[in-house]
Amino acid sequence: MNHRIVSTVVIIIVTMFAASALLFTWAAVLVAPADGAVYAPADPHPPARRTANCVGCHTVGEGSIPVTHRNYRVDTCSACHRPSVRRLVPHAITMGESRCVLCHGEPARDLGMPVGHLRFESGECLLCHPVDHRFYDRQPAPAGLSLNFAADIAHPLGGVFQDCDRCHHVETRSTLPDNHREFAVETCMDCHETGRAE
Amino acid sequence: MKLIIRGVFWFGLYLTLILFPLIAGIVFFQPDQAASPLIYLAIAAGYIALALMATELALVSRFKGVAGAFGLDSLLQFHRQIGIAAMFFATAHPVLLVADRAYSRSLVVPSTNAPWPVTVGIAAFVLAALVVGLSVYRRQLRMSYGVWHITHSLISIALIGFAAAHVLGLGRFAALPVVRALWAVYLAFFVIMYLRYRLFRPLSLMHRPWQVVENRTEHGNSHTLVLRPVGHEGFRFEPGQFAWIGFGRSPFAIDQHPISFSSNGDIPSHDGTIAFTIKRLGDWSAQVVPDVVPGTRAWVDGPYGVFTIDREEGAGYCLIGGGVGITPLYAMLQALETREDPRPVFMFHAANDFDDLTFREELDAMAERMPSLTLVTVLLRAEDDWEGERGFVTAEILTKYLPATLYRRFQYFICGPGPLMDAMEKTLPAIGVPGERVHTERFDMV
Repeated sequence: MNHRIVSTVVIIIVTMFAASALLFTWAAVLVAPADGAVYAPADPHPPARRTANCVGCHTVGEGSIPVTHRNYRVDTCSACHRPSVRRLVPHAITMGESRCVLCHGEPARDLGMPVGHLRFESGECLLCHPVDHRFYDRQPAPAGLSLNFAADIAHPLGGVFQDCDRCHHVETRSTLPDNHREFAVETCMDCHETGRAE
Repeated sequence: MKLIIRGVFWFGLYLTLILFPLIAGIVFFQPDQAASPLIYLAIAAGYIALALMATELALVSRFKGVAGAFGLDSLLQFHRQIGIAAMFFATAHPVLLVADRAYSRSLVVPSTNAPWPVTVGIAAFVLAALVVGLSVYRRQLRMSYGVWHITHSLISIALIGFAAAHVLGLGRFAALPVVRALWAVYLAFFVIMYLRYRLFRPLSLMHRPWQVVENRTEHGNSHTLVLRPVGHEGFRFEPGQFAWIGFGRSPFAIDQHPISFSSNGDIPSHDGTIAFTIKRLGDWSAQVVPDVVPGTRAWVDGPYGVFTIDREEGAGYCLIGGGVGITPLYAMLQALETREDPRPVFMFHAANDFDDLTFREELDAMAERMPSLTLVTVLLRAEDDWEGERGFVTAEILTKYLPATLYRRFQYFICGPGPLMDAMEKTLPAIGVPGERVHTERFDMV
């Protein structure tokens, strides 16, 4: 084959590869935007002297920095890992910090903590979730209650149904859920409304 | 048109093979590994560099399908130029990473503290530079072809191994299972290619040995080796083709050389003998070939090549040969004479001086026998009584002899020193010959 034709083909192919590299970059930016802060996990630590030095705790050797980050400079962490938006506690800490889990300890429940928080010590909550100063004296809602779907009462409330304890045995052989045991029997109607049957 | 169709198919396949993992990477990429555009570009450049280098072996592993479509000399040229281009992509990879603020310049400096994937990446880059540098500057470094060939193979294998380890150990996209699977397939393909090239192909030659029956000295500091098949019938070849030949007890020797046939492939001798004519140019041709004695065991891998009159239709032929480049053209003339082809043939035989004219007596005798053959001899340095043409083969000399109404429909075959072929590739289109009718053969790539 003609030598010049081969050289021309090489130039065309190399140009196509260079264009492909640019196309790949464009597509990658679309799939995973270059602003790493959008997808990089947020920095969950509160601003403090001991959390300012990321590599003081996070090291490649211990595996807490992904292998693909090995060559990043340590002072560029915050370029992608922006401070997280923290949720403030909207009520008074009346029972002390270690009691948070009494209401928020089950991830599946309303206002339960995220599953990822289960590894934290119970006494560390306020480190990331300080009290919102606007609500420092507000009492928390009754602990352990679902906020949304307390079951309707399926019977009238008069006559023999007037006394809840008569059937639900608050003290012995209780039919109440475990997390209702601490509530006074007079407070049932605070959450449970009478059903459509009435 | 046939060439365009062949080109679209093979290079479409080539582009697909190289770019497919990039496409897979984009499709399956997880956004939580997001990076800046410069890093994405660096990833693409590094990947393309490795893919180009890994497929280099396929280009020169003598696959009949590919070599038959383009000619092995074209693939060798493509191999060389793509290798240089791959080096540019490989260089762009660390440059772009450092250009991104997230990476420090210490990245490109070997260090004991560096993670091992970074270290092997640096090693792969150095080896790539060594492979390309030795190939481009072998003559200036006065490295023998044999030593270069061995180092080229070994360093290339190490380079692919290191680069693959770098990608799999550090790569952002290579962390994806689908990309890892693709890489495993590609590496397996590379290993199979290498085994085919270095193990299975020589094994197939084991049962087809040849023996040197004559070593004849020719004009122009050349030797013609006549080889006879031992225990088999040999093979037929098209006029202008070549084969890889080597000597020794085993076909596994790496010291093999592509040499054009100088015998008539159309009607081989009854005992299947073939002939190669070799000029003293390099270490092997100057130190080994002259001392080859009859009875020496030889290994012939061929025939190869598309530099042949059998694949190109034309109203006539114009053959332009310089020095030992006359060899494949002489084989073409023998075939044309055997076939009693009535089409006009113009042979421009160029040499430095009269003594450098290989096959001059044979060509003169052939011109006497073939009325269709016009033999034009062009000497760079000639005695005063020289009646032929002087200087270089030029447009003036060509148009002086070629029939004005017909030469644009001829097929042109040029073989000789690089400057002669470069000049003809410019001159012939300048006088109106279509580029696709100009065929050259180059093996002097390193």
